[in-house]
Amino acid sequence: MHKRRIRQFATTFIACLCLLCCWPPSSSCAAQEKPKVNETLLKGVKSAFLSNFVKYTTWPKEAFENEKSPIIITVIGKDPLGNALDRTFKDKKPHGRKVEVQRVELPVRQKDMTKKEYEAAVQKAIESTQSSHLIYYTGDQRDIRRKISDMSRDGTTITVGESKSATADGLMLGLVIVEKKLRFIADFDAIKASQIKVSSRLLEVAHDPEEDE
Amino acid sequence: MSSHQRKLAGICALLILGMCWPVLSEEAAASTDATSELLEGVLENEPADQVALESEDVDTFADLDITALMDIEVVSVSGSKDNWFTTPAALTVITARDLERGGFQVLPEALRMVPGLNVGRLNASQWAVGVRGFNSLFANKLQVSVDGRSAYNLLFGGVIWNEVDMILPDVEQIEVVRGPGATLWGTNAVNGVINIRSKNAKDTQGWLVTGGLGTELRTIAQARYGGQLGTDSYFRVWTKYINHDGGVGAAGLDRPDDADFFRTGFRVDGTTSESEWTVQGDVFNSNRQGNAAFIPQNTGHLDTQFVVDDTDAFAGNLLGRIRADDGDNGWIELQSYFDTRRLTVVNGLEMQTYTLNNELRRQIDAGRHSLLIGLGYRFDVLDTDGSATLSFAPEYRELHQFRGFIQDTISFEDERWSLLLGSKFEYNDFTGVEVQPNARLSFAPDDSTLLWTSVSRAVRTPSSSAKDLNLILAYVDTGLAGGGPASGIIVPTTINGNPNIDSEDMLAFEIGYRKQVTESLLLDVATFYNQYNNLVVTPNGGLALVQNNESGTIHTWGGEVVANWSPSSVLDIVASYSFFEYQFPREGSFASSPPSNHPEHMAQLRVAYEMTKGMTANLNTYAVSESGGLGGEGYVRMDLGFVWDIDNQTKLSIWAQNLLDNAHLEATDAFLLDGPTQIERGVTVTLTKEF
Repeated sequence: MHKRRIRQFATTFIACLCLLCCWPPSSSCAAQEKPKVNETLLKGVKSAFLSNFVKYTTWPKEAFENEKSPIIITVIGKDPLGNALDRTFKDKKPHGRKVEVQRVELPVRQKDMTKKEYEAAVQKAIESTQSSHLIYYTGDQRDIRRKISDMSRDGTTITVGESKSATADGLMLGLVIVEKKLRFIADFDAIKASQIKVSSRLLEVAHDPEEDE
Repeated sequence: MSSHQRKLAGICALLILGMCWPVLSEEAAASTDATSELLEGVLENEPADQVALESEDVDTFADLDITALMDIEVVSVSGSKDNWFTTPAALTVITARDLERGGFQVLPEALRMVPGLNVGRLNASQWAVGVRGFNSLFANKLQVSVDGRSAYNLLFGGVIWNEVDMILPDVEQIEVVRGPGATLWGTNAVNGVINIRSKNAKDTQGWLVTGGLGTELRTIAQARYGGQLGTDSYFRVWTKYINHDGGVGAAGLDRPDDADFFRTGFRVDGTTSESEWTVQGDVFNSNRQGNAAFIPQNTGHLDTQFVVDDTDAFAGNLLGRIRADDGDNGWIELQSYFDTRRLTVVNGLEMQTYTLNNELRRQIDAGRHSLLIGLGYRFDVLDTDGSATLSFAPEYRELHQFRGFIQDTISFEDERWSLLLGSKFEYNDFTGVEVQPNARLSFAPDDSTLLWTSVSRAVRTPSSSAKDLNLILAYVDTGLAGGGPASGIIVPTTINGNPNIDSEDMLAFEIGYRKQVTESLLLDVATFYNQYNNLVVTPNGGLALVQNNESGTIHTWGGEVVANWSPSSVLDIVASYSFFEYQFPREGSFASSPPSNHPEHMAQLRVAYEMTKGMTANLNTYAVSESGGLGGEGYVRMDLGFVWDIDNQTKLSIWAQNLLDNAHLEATDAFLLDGPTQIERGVTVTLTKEF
């Protein structure tokens, strides 16, 4: 009785195993599949990317009040990096300067606000970041990206956004994920037009979006 | 046996065939263009998961150059590395950084940091570790896995904790699930699962050498060297030696439980274009674990002989694992290990076990479904050589276990809702077929809140001792035992295994809540209500057969609350409280591992403050109430430690542990046939150098 049960179990087991091994997921399933971003890891890596952007950028003297003025990094809108960004820059002194991370929230349009009033509030919020040395905007609103790029054009701020369309909307750098790894694309013209200098060592490793096509 | 061996060979061949499938499959070459577009969507729509980031994660990347950063994969398609925050279970994760801030040098001690887990040190070499009740030296409702290898002992049930250790800086993390984890982890994962994972050899390159001296932990010496084997394979070899002073008895006199442990091991990790693989192994030896026992003698009423002896222990294992990525659709993993343990206890019983275990896991991501399927086979040999008072009949057993599990996680409504359904099916030689289903539902109303609930059935199969044990507790005079004059007839009172013993089963209901209250404050609450039936009990009194408790359902309930607060980047505070209560219909039917073997209240407060760069002060307080059947007295333990990272390569740590009292009693166990041992105050200084 006992041995027969073992045999039955073994047979069922092997049958299940064969089924398991021969069960390729259909390609239609694959198309809907949503790969998982390791968010915790991504926060750390993105923060370190921003740290590298600071490291490889040289600002003109006029961008700082004095020799001791800090490098100001501003996150506009929703901040996905949280304390990862603060921890990355803690104890770091790129170009001999301390780094200050500040966050500027974008206004929410209230019911009684006209479009004009709302836009003025957005404009005001963005203009409050004018003295920043690096602006990081993670949202995908084109008008906000354009407002940021208009404000910093020919200026002393390096602007960073998310995804390919960020540079199309005038930001200098855009973070993208290519083949499971974080990369960045660069708008060389926008950088050239500004008063900052970005090291060729950084720009050499920028991702060329045309490679994806 | 030959037919079993043929079956085993067949199974292995099929497993290997299974491994080759993803490599052969055309699906593996999935289109990356479509994926990266999708990913951008994921990034833009779900920028934050609101989980507080461990600073070490950031520190790992903070100094990397852009080219090195571009090599890091930030997308995992494994699905198994689920975010802690969204896991619908009472889960605690201890990282290498937590271990450093806990000041512990051996693994079982470090488990004190887990909320709701009761760690009772019995003496220098033995621990009772349990969760949600039923703790003892052989806490048999807790499953423990070390790098995928079960540390659960089939002879007595439970884990012999001195076998479980490694170089702590090489620990990747310890995941502790309070509550049943039977679907994934199998039988005996009734009240909890502890899953200890060591780091990939790639992450432990170079030398690490630690030397330490102390008053209780007298010596710690450990060394590891990691190097590269080929372009894509890495190795490490390591060794660790611990010498621990014995405790004191009730009268404050020294006990003979001094112990020393030696272990050494290796791990090799490699990757190919399609797969990653691991081979690892370690051996453990202890030829001095002092133990004492009053051994019953048949010369007269309640005669005993006091024996102090060093007990021998040896354990060794070898494990291989290969995982192949199936494009972006999932993965397939095969793991096999061999494990052997030998232990001689003070009253002369010798035990030896051999285990061969194979498991295949397949994960498939398909739309809103994430499916995990597994099949496994385990073969055990249990070999004992009994003494006059403690033996097994039969002395030799071969056991087979076949198992399979299926688990589907389904997401709805933009992944706000998630439903996990699964079950484990198992056949074992002791109790036949066991089914252990599990349903878990979670709801995230926003990115910073999670509500979850679960219903699970879990089973504990009887250990070999419940079936085969012959234990003589004492010799008594029949006349004196009956309250009359001496008759001169001396008989043993015994506990005997029961060949008809059946599995214990448990039905668990859990509700949990997690909230990222602010950027710096995280709250985690879990509550449970468990019903146990058929518990294996050892009735009080002589000539007793171990049996399944039929006097009704036993109920336990309680919960754990944990708050993690980092008010500034230099201050981290963890506070937790756990509550446990039980009820059983009839008192007095238990002699071992009753539900009451757990403190009603436990609380801890751990504060880590980075005073200056690299210098951290840690003040950790653990309060544990009296633990009924476990014999532990209530105590408050305070540990104060300074960790000084001198130059990124050299770390000095100074710890004063158990500051508040000279000694306290944490737990006792009837099996030790000896008086209780108290745990003393201790100071340890260690210096670690990495180069």
